[in-house]
Amino acid sequence: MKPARPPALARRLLRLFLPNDLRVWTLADIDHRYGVLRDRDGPVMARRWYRRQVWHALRVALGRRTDPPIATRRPLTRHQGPEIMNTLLRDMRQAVRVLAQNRGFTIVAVLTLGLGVGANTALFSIINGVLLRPLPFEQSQELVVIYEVSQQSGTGSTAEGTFLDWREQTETLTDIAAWGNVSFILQTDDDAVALDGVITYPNFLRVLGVRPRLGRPYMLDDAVEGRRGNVIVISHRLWQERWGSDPETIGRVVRIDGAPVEIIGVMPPRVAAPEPNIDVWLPEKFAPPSIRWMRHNRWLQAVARLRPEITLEQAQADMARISAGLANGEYSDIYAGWSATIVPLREQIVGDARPALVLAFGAVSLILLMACANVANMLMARATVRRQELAVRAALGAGRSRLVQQLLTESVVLGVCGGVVGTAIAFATHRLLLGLQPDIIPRAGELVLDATALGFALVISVLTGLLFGVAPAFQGGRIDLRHALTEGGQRASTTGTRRRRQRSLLVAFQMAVTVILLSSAAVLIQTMVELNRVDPGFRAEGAVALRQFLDRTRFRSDSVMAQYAVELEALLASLPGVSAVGATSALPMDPLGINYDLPYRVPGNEDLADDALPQADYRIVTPGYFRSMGIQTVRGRGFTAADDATSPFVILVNQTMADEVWPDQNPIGQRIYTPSRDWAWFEVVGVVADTRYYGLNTAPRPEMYVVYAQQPTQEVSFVVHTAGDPALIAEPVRQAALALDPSQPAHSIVPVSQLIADTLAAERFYGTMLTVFAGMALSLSAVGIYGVLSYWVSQRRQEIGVRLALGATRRSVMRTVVQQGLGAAAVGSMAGLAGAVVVTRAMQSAIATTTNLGLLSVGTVLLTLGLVATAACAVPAFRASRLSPMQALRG
Amino acid sequence: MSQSTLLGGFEHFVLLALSSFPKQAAGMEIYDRLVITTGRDVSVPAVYVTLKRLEQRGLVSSANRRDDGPHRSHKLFQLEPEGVKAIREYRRATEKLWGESRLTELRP
Repeated sequence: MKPARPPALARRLLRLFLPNDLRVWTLADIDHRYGVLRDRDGPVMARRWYRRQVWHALRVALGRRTDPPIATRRPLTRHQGPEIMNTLLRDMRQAVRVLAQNRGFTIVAVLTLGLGVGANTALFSIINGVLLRPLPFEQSQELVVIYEVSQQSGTGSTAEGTFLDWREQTETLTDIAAWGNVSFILQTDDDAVALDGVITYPNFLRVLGVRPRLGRPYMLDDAVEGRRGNVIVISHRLWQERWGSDPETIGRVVRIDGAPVEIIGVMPPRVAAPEPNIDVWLPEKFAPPSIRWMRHNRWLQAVARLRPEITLEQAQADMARISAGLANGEYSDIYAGWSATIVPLREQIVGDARPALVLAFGAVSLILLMACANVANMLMARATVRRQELAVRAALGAGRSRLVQQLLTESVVLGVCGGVVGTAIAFATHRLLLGLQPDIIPRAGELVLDATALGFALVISVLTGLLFGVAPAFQGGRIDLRHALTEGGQRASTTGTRRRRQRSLLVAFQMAVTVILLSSAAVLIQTMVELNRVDPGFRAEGAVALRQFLDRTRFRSDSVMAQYAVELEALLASLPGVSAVGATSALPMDPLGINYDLPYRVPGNEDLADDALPQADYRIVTPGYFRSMGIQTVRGRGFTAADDATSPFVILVNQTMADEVWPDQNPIGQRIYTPSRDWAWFEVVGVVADTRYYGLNTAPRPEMYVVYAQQPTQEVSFVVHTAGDPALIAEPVRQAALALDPSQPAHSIVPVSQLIADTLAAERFYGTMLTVFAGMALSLSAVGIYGVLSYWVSQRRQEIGVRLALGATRRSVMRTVVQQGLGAAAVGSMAGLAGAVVVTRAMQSAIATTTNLGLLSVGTVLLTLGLVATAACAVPAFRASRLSPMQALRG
Repeated sequence: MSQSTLLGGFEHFVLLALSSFPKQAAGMEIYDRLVITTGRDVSVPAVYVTLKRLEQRGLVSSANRRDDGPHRSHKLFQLEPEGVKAIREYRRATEKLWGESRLTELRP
């Protein structure tokens, strides 16, 4: 009888693992025992025993202690969990060991994944805080905002009388509150400071559902009808900065616009109720509307709560009913053409930001996919190098599913390591994004990187680990043992074509994403460049604006206000370096400006109904305004000191209005009637150049200017132009205002150029963000191409060696390698261009000011990508061309 | 080689198993004795590597088997006096530890 032969592969491994000096006689003994067992217990048991000895020999060969190998089956204790957990823990330990042994690969992979996870986590935390998390008010889903709407004026504010009627007549809203933005002067014994605040109906805090953190909210009883209350609630920021978070601040009496008020509450930190940057909440119980002005003067916003079980549509129908009643009632002339519209408060706060944030999240998701593609490529390349290791495991009894599980566990551990690095990157990115332009992002004050965001980071770390690990794991699990354990098992296998195509596809995908991101960034940058070239119609450089909100209690009469403006202008003009001073009720592009638009009549349209009258922007300026802003007078004259309260009413119009109203006539000497002086007529004395008041991408609108001396206003901004650096003039301007009236501090001083810059905030924010993302994508693409080409070269060493030996030039070898890399890049770039067209069109609706994707942008993007891709190909190509043919052929 | 270090646990088992044979024993016989007495799986390569190490330390000696025994091993191992001394030292150290142990079931 022939002696039983043990399994060939296991025997070969045993030979491999046994120490040299023991090999011969140990192997003989084990082979002999195999035969005995085979006869006694059968071939299956014998083979199992034989394979176990191979495993033992491997442990000995790896330097594992032989002490204690005797207890290879440990008895179960009560601390030992289910087998699957043990397997998982074992696999995780093994994964950490494998990754630690390959530090170079691990560092690159972890950093790559960290970039993707970090950017995603940072943006997710913003989206979570802005779009997903409920507003910081009780039952915030019930809150709605009510606007008055007309075809002529668009969506706008409401008036006190209208608000009171809504409140009285509604059947679908639990309660309605109103607020109006004002600027207060807060005075203490020490000083006075100008603050932004709101005057609200006393039920405001209750309707909004926000409680002060300290003290109590004000209520209906805290104000008498027709008067402001004598209590206020202050912001957390003001409490910290002014009173050092002193709890004794509650009950302190200060003066608001000269009137004593008691501080009864401090709001919670970082809550925009209803807007950010509010420092003072003051109640006022509006009186029943006894004069028309209380219905005509639309200066309030309204917030309300839906009754339980009432839908938005039902509430809308209810408001339509009320509006119809007002339009047909006693004040039909005021309400004709007006209706009310209801919008959820959440939509009003975050709605505009949603499309842009969603697009941005799409961009970072693509970055993460690119990172996964890179790591997947790296893992697939490594799987070839690890063939022998995997083959050994398979030979020792690990089935395919077990191998796949082990490889997937390694990928997940890698993903989680990437997630840890990504979390650190997320903190830095989060801070950077919020610091860029915080006003662009609604609810920015509430945004923190919290447990939800960290949980998100963990989940996507694990998911990305599975995502990029699946293909390499299944590739690694498909081991051809005989081929893998023979020499040359590390070379390209017969299925290399398929894998080459996979890698090329990954490179093409990365190229496509990079093109999309670069194109989006290019479009935004192009938009900013084009907008910066637009002439705003005024001179922004060299001027600062001092914004003032005059104390209503002291500046009541026209003469007092007019005198103040004259004196302050004179004082400012006397400052060293000042070349021009002027004042206006509303600076161009100033969000704090009071922009009126009024209907007007001219001879020829006197019979038009009120709601059919044309409208124009209405501004109140001092004579020096146009010179201080560099606005030319194109016809007639400007205002002079002679245009005062005793002289006839005069008016200036801009070119657009002149062309519209008097296209074929000289506007000088024409008459305009406006309701501002109860339809008194104004004589047109001059035409001034157009300015873009509402933004660089907004066409000029009809504007009329009246002189401050004839119609002063409490909201006024003084423009101070200097030949020198405007930053140096800010403090002297502030001191001059205080010197004139210490109890009338400046609200703020801003460079006029900043007003323009702020209108480009959205473009700048998203442009910066997309440029950063595009930079990440470019880096990942370069790494991807480099990795794929390096691997491709390493697999073709012999082939390249043969070519070099047969006389191919080094240049031709380089060309071959570069063509290989650029081929996939070119395909991806074309696909990316098509995607870029779609994405940039979507951006136009999200950020309304973007331009189209033009040839210049496309050319720049393709050139940039081409250069980077070529550079990434250069190193592997150079290495390939430097191969020694003899070494390459020897392998 | 000097025996300045105490035996390892598995080295002790191997020497004890060898000492249970009257004279010499083959590697696989020692392996069988360990399997039977411990009731557990034992690593054959570990037994052989340990025997090699003990031989290098002078605790056992080996000789090539001349006759064709049932195990047909190539080498037979024999316990040397140094090996006996090592076993006794190990036992002394172990018993002392057991004596000091607070686990009553372990006390001899």
